[in-house]
Amino acid sequence: MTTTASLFDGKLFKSGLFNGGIFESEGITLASLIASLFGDGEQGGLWLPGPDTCYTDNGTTLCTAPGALVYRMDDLSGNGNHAIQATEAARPALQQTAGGLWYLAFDGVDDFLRTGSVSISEFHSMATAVNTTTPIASGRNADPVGFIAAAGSYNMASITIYRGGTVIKFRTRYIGLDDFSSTDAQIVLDANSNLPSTVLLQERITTTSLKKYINGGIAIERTAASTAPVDPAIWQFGPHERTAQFQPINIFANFVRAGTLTDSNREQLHELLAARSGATLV
Amino acid sequence: MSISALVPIAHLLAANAALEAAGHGPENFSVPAYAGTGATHAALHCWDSPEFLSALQAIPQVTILSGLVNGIDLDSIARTEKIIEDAGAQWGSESPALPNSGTVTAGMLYQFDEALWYVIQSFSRSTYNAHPNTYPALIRRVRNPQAVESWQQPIDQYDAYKALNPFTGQPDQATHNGETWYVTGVDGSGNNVWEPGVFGWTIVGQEPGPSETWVDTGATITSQAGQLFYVSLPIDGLGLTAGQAIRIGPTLETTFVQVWPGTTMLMQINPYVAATAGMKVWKWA
Repeated sequence: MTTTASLFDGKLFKSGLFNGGIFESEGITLASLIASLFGDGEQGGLWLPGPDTCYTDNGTTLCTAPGALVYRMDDLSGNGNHAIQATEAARPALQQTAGGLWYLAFDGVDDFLRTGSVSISEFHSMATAVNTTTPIASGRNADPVGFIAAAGSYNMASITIYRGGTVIKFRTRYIGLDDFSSTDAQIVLDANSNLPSTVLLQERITTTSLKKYINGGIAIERTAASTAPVDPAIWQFGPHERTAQFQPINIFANFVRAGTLTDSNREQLHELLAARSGATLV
Repeated sequence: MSISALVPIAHLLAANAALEAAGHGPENFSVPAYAGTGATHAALHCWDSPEFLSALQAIPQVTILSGLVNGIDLDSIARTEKIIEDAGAQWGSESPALPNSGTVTAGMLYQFDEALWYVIQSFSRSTYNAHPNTYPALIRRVRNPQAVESWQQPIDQYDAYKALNPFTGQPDQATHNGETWYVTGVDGSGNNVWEPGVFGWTIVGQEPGPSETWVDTGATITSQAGQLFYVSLPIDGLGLTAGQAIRIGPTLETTFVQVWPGTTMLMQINPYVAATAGMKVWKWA
């Protein structure tokens, strides 16, 4: 069974993998952050790919080296929402950057992971740390790339990318609220451009307001056109739906919580995601 | 180095079953590839896995692209694109957006309004620039075999609805007139080309109750007259009503229309099925 202690020796950012101890002065560890986010029994999950959380089977054999195909990635929240892929061709590969950061490589053809059924309220927050090293060619921006999305209510998640100081948006459709789309939608990424590591957080604050935080700063705050409740049954990592993939992506961390976040929690979470992905918060 | 593989649609179910039996999980081939009006192949991509490669190589109908290609280690997208295009098919997710001007080419797939569209004959989008639904003779929507979409009249075997969808292992489904339907009847070639509600479709959740089944009418086909059939007993005594589902022999499902005017044992059916003398006539009741 995965434990936070075995992952990080109890010190969240003391490891060389985590930007040299971002939280050291605050005395915050991964365990204390998880306790803060999920300690009262909140539903959701925290998924940090690595050799201590990813298995080549359904929970028995840990991945031992980069390149291993991931059957299961453990949820560290304590909720047991482990992400699974039983189909071999659809499994992402656990990889490691030159700097030692672990991530899951999704091939953009058929890879994805899914949790089991998750009961989640209409209030929820989600975050991901993701990048891609493959240029997004013209014509590939017609659909959102669901780095983390709610299956059963597809298209809930959409993405804003921070690149070189510029906010670049995939066309967004639903982010847990109907009709949260349109004006901030379209992007055309430069062909032959690569995207650096990115941190973003999409947080549903109330039933009528949604904020996107990108690399630590508020990028967009909008009022939803509809407040229809959101009750996804399953969380899916990878492209937004299995039948319409087109963009290889690398996921360094994913997070979902059935509830809003305090500013303090959000900042800590952003720093965790930044540390996991090598991104620099603005 | 990674692996891309392709299998013709006719062998999709068997290939996925073989891979699952070899311990590689279900539905490995999951990416539709299209040629013409429908999906003709299914593709997959897998990161490096010698065991999986061996399992693929054991399936004779599967085409595999692994290793270097002209000295280049293709990425997952390029590798999958190549194996699909080498088979003369197109990857729907990689199709370009339908332009608003210029010429679109016959045989090409385009993306528009969250669907794929197949160009039947080349035309100018500068001239014909309304919604593609407006020009059914020029361009038509391609069915996504993994999605439940609005029903459209099939034009050939490739986009006809099937009782067994090889991508899902279930009957094809479609929405029509506010309901979701699934295929329950096909012609002798395995195709359903009828509008839901006419023949061969059942509304999801409204399956016939357990009390309904095929009942032997006691009559048999004795001979054929055009597309009408003579039966061995007076039809009025068989308890048939207009529109009632009937089955001739073990598989030929159709509907009863009427006793041909002026006769007592000549039966009109719709759609036509190729029944032969001696076949039993069953009714759904």
